[in-house]
Amino acid sequence: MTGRLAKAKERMLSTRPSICIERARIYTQVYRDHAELPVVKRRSMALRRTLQEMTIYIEPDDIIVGNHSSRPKAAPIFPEYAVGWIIAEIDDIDKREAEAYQATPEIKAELKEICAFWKGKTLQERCHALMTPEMEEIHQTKIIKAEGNMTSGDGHVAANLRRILELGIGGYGKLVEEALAKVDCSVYEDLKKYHLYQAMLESLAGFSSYISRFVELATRMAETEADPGRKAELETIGATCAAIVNDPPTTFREALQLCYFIQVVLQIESNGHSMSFGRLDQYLGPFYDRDLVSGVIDRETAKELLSATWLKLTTIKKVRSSSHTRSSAGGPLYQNVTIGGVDREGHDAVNPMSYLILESVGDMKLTQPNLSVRYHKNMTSEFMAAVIAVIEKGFGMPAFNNDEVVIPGMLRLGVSLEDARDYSAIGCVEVAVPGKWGYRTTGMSFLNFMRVFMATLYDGRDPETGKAFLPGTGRLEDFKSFDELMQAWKRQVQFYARASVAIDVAVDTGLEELVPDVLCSTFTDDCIGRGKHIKEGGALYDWVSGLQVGIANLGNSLAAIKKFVFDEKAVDPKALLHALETDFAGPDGEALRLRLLNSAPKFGNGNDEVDRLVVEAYGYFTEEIEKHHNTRYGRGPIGGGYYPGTSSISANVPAGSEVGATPDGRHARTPLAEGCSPSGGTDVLGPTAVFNSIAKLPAERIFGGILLNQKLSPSVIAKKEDKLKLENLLRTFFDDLKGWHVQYNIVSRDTLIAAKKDPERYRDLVVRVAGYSAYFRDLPQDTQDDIIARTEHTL
Amino acid sequence: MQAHAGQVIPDRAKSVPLVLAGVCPSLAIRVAGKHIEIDDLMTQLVCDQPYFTKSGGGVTFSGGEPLNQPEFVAECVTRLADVGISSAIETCLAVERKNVELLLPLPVYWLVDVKHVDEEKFLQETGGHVEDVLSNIALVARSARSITFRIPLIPGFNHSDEDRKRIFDFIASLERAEDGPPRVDILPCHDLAAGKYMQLGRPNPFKAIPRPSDHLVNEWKSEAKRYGFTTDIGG
Repeated sequence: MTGRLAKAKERMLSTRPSICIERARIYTQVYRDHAELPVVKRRSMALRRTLQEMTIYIEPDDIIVGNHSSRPKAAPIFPEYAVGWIIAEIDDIDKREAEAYQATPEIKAELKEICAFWKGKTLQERCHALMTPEMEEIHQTKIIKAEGNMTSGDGHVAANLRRILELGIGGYGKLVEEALAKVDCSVYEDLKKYHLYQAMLESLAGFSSYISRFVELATRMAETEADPGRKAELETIGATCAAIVNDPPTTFREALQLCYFIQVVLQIESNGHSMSFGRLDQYLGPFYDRDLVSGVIDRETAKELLSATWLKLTTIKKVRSSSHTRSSAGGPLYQNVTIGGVDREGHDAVNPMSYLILESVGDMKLTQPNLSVRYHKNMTSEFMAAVIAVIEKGFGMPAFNNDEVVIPGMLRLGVSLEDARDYSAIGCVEVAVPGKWGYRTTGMSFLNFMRVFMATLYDGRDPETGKAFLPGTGRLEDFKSFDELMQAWKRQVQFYARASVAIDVAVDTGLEELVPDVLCSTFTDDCIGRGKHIKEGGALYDWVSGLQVGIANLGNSLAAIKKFVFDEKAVDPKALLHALETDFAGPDGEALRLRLLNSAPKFGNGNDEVDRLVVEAYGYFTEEIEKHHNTRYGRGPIGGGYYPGTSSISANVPAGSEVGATPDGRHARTPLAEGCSPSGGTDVLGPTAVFNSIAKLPAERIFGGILLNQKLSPSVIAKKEDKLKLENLLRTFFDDLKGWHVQYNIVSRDTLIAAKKDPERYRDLVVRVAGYSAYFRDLPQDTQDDIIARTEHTL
Repeated sequence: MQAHAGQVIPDRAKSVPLVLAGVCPSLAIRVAGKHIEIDDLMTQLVCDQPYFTKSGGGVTFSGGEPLNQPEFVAECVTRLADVGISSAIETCLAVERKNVELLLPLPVYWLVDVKHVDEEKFLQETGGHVEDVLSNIALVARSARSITFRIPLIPGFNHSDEDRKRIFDFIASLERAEDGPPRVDILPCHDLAAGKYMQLGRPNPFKAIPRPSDHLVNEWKSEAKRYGFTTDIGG
């Protein structure tokens, strides 16, 4: 890291997050003054005016420019999505435990005024109004959660950066104008298209003027700059921006600057997160190679520009409600960059830019971008070694996705071979074809499997709320065999699978009607061709998945009941339920808990008996969810369906806090197992046994991602031969066992405990939470404890 | 000693019957290790075959002392070899000669301890006779094609220059079936056993032994190189 970057990083780390009101102010004015406009035009006007009027700045060290709000780490407000939580939480937003945001009394007062205007008009309120009373009631129990989708909107998407770099903003403008010329406004559908195209043109114009403003600002600053070195830099910034206002970039620097601008502007347009870059090494590689040959740039300069971009990404903040903050602890934005993999022809796609991105991310050790490496069987050992060297730095990056399972899985869905080979990670674990896929390949509603399982033991009655949505499936003591329990689970989980889709349909309808992203749609194939935004079915491909939480707990609970209640008849079902209701109170309760915990098989140890139960029980959910469609089905995209997903981010912690004691010996209110990883501390046979368990899941069907976190202490891969061991372990997991994903936390337990006690000293300690990395100090205490408790493996 | 809630303090004065191991729910009393039939063991081992194939790794039979069950180990090694998995045996060779002979014809990577060559010191610290062990080492060296000699470096037991010279001379003098220089790894002693002694409620006899200094370890390493050995620390 250069001295300048170190300084800028230090400044970023010491900047406290705050609230920026500018976007909310402008959007509110436009919505108030132009209520007559179709929603797409109201939104494009609001976006254009925000981009033209918001404060922009260039910091003293900046070499890449563009800002999300008026100050670094200031979160803009998106009142059109939800205001209820803002009204309730704004007064104390600077005092909350995790992710506090500074806000002056004036800002708070103005925000309250703005929120008053929006009351009754927001996405969240619309979505609730669209839900049937039964779905509303289920949603209130938190067995299914869709709050984030209503308060934050969609995200989880990547624009078609490859094509943007090829055509430039002006080129996209031409595409829209050509499409507009073909519109016949005497036709109902075409009138809608006409307004969408107008909105696209306005959004593109707003985008161009935002870039122009940086040309002017850099030029003005250069004129008054005394230091000749900095003056030249500012002139370069101005020239770089000027080159891409309309035209496609011709150099690496211009291409990278344009990619970053898109990243910022799409996040001003939408409140969603997991806005991803796609395969950045593939897009930037050709520019970099050309520049190197012609001597326009050298390796170090290119690396510094990349590093500066990563630093800028960390200045982007999105403020979330306190409950949503718990589900995605540490304030992650999951801005994913994917490198490696095979190219569209199936050859190893690793290029010099892949190495440069990897190294720069490793040097900076930031929480953004979320870096993913696409593994494939012909990946060179040289690149694997470079990846492992970054893993060893211990900030949880990069994560791996596996071409050997993702590409065949995409083909199975009906994605073309070339597009399948061109996939990228979106956000964290989930995958899509960047620039061609709709929102939320994962990230629809969260289904708490253990709430459903507990209801299965009580004749469909949820013990937390006393409500029974599907009564009549029997109580634990009624079941004459384990199979009857499994059949009851099947009925319950299939009911809730359908309910989660019903909730999604309401939310998706609200998103389509109220907050379409015009610019993001412009940059997603084939919205322009179809004259539809993404929510109307504009994307070429559109599959989604929700997140199922508590996979390992489910299997472990089934295994414990099977063994003690049915096979050995050693535990009376009533006594078990009583112990669960009292959270294993008393010495007998504790003795039973320990037996459940220690003497029944646990997922993650390669044990067939319990692993098969996980596969079967999860399979019933899969079977049902695959029958359902999203709101774009039949409206254009290939797909329009659902698949399962397990990248439950840190939702395992709040989901756990909403479940009482469970038959796997888990205490009430403690975290559930995260993602598809074994339940904390129950995998005792080492990493190969974990892999062997995970590999039994049908990875090609659980397409929302199979999230596996493993923790290794630094000593484990200190030596060269240990690194080779890790490489071989990974290759085996991916080539032979068809693993989907794995990521490593390389930190010692002692370090974490010390960091919990003394957060100031470990200010820059980054850990892998789930599908993303976060600053350890930013995590709520229970998430910190959860990470500490996860097993530390030795190879 | 007063136990508080959740803590188990076994009375070590009385023997703890093994039958309790299955009863204690918290696993505070448990049998470490288990009885296992060869078929079951094979099923478990073959699970990891993809990792072995990819890495060129395999199964190591380790301590206790695997050569106390030579028939079992021999059959495992044979069956693993049949499916293409290689085996290593970690042994101190303080066993009957016939146990060693049973394994010698099989494809095994030998990891052989050489603790000392001095009769008196060896007897004092291990209770065994060094003559028998050294003769077993010589036997393995004469017929095994892959072997690593491993010297646990323990201050106060075998750390002196003279100890080193006698041990290295012994290895250098061996008649060996393997081509190339002998591989000799130095294993600096560590205190990982402390936790286990505590769990067993036994005094830790090695508590007073310091870990060998880096300087000493490096000295051994460079001396090993001077002898022409291939060498590593740990290993």
